[in-house]
Amino acid sequence: MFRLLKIELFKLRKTRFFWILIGLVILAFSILPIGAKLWLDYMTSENETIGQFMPDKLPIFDFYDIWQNLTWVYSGFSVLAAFIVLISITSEYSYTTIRQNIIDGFNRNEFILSKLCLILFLSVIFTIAVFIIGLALGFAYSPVTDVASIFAHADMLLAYFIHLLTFLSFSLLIGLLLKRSGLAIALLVFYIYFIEPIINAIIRFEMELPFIASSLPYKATQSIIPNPFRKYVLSEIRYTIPGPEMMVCLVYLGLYVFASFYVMKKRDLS
Amino acid sequence: MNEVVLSIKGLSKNYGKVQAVKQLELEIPKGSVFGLLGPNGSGKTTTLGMVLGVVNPVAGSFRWFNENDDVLARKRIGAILERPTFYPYMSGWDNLDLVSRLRSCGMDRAKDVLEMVGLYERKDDKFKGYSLGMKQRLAIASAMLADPEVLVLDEPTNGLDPMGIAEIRDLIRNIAAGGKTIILASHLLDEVQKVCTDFVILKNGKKIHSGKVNSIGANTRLIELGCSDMNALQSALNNMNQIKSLVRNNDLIQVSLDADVTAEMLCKSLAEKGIFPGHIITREKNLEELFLQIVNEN
Repeated sequence: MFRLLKIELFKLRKTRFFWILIGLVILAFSILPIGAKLWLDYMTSENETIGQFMPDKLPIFDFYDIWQNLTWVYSGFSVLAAFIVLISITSEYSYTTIRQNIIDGFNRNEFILSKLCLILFLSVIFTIAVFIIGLALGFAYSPVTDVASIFAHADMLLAYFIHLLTFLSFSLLIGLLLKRSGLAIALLVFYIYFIEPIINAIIRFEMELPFIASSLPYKATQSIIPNPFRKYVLSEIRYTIPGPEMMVCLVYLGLYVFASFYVMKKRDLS
Repeated sequence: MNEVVLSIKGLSKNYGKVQAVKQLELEIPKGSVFGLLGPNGSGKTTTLGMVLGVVNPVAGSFRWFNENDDVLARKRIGAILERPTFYPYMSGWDNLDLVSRLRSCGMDRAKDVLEMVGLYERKDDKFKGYSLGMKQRLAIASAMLADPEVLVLDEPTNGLDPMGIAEIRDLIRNIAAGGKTIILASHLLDEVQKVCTDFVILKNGKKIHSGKVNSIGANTRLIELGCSDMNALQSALNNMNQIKSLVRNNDLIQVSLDADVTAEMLCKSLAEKGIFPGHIITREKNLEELFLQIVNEN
């Protein structure tokens, strides 16, 4: 495991795209809470209300709301991690190193396993980063900081972790199938921001099948973290990871992993 | 002595309707420098791709070192397929480091193999900055990194200038002298004749000839003749029954004879007719001539 992860990091360590994307993630992760805080302060100074709350009473950064708030918002940036996975797999095709790796004594399963190790690594690192940011924000702004409050609903971090694993495995499969970086990135972006939202809208509102809509490939990885902000407006409280959605997500995860091994096994690497 | 490094049985591959390799049977003896010849598109690279585990055969089987696990077997083989393949943004050294991690073989030999191919001074330069010859040499260094028993080289002199070709040839000879088995795919017949001990010729995915390089000229002798009166020479030669064939181009005549007829015997009979050739060169039939003959016959 560690050998495979070290190989992946060795491959990535000298690439520019990896560090640029990591930089963008750090930027996004730090700008968002700062921006949210500035906005709340501004709303307070203008005496505006948000839903039935006064902005300074809104428990956005409070334990235990913070976990769901952060993971839900940050899950929107997982696409940056997906780009790392996409470029990492497609560049193996463009350099034909995918073939040379096998010739050099890697077996095909090890090759996929090493990419899965990278996915696991990114998911763990991102989850830990969100955990640390959450702790820092909570300790800075939360009125309650007892252990029970801190860790109540911290299971949203688990949902976030599964979200990352599944979405990144999806990206791996897309990269394996499409082989070309530009094409894979363009199609992934087009799919998650254009095609799927349209299909989602049709299934959800026209056909009125919300569960099916939530089970679309990208939506499924997001549906396991329920939108936390709705509760501030509609007082509709949902702090728990939805079970059926989680099942769907795990099924997808298994499917992507299996399909990646299968594609690699069947394909001629020429 | 007759140990077999690789045996191929009935190996076939098709891409859609195109049959790239048909029912190939092959045995590669240990310690040989084995030439895999054939025109472009004859299935050389596909065959190597299959035995290296990157192309899935449709039928047939192959076996390295009589070993069942071909992933384990592959760790005993160093190979380049088609062109040198490395991560362009990494230095030569880092690329070898990566290969050593893939092979789990350690970097103890890295300095030696880089020195062997004359790249040690450039080891910290990025691969993308290397010339084609340097890339080919890095590929050979990389293939030699784990001290493999077998070296598979696919067109190792592709795109190189004459000096580069000569360098690679010397390198291959030195490696072969170290007792390694080398499988060399090439369409540069001159190269193969200079370095190989055995060869097969493929055409349209089929084996059409196999043999030993040193027996190519075994039953014919080629003699090139020239003299001031070419017409007299030609008619004199035409009347000799030892001559198997005669080709005249400009001011030289090339005849092929049975191997037991020497140039001396030929000169003696010409002298008896009052013809004294000023230019006499005996040479063996070369692989190129044999290759063209066989490929055209099939």
